Amino acid sequence: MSEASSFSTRSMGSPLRLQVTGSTMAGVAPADGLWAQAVDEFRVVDAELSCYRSDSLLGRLNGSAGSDTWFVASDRLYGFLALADRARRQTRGRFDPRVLPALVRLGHPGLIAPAERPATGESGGPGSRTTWLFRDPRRRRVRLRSAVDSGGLGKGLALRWAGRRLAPQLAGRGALLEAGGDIAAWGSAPDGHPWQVGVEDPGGTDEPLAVVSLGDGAISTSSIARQHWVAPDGRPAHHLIDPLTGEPGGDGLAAVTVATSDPAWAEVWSKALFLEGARRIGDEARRRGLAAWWVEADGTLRMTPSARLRTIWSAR
Amino acid sequence: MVATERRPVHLLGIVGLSAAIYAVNLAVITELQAAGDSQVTAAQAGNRTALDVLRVTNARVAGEVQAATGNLRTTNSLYLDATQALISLEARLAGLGKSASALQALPALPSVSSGSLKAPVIHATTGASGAKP
Repeated sequence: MSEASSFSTRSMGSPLRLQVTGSTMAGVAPADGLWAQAVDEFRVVDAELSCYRSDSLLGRLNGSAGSDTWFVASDRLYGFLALADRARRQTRGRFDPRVLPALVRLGHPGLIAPAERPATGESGGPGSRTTWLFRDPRRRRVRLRSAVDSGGLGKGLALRWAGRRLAPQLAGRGALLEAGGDIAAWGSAPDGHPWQVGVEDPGGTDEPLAVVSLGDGAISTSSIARQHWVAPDGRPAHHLIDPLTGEPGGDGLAAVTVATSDPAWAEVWSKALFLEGARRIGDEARRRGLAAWWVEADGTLRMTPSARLRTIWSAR
Repeated sequence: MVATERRPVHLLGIVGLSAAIYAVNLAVITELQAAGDSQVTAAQAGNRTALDVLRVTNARVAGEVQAATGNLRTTNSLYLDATQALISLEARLAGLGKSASALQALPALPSVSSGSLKAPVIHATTGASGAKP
């Protein structure tokens, strides 16, 4: 069994933790140096993509949404918008970043309300097929028809970009980077076996519902266990909004976990599958060939065949 | 008395004048014909160039049509092959379906330890993010 270094802090409103296995050798980046780079990446992503800060690049872009003003985007902001657009198309509209006004309307705490502008024709709101994003790749400029939410993709992208900085410096060591339930892993755990990740019980018990083996790859969970509240009209609400209705979606589900090779896509698919609801999630996940675990409202854990291959333990 | 022979000088003058006028007319007509011929030649040269371009274009289009026809034939052949393969695959699937329905029990998926056993060591937990509002 090799040594492991562990670091933790808070970033993007969630705990951030890094574990690195193996001892530091000459010529290899020390674990605390890797940690500093991970923290820096998350700090930059928060400063650029946060929906909770009016001074973030995305906050300022959302402030100009609906106008004819072009906005010069950073590489990260441009990458986020491009991936969000691609994810919307790949999930056939189940993932849609234009749910920000719906979240604000439902009273999600902390979000910056987008500026209201007089309607000019089609609004380009969630679920609409109208182009919501105008891109000028040559000059890296963008223009939005409506404000967007980075909540469905921000941490996944931060993990992806942090991984791109860390992975070339691992030199055979294993690492696991965890950001509020979204996880990216490289190599093996201190015992030489793949990393073992617990799937949280959304019912609130300390025991995981399942334990999953994770080699090089990522795993992400969308759950309503924490982010739920009572809307201004008295109805229960949560943060996973169905773009087709503008209302909280995922009937009959409490949590969905997806494992893929990339943390950003793991986050996209966990949300998109959650919004399929308990009746359709199995068919959709199998049709897409995804390794997915889902917990129904009554606490029942179900999984796809490819998820079963990665599961080394389940509670029931 | 010898009559003096009168020379018809005025006739000679008229003949000379006519010859001169004829010569001038002939020269003018020849010049006009030459100019007309040059214009026709120039126009024909333009048409010939256009015809050459048309001929080359036509040859290229004919080549492309021929290539497209070849591609279409290849695609058609591949499509027929794929159809045959699908028919064969469907027949094999039907056979497998019959074999599977004859089994007394379904084959087991890889075993997952569960139930009363304690959860193994975990290095991280994936779950809900954020704090409860």
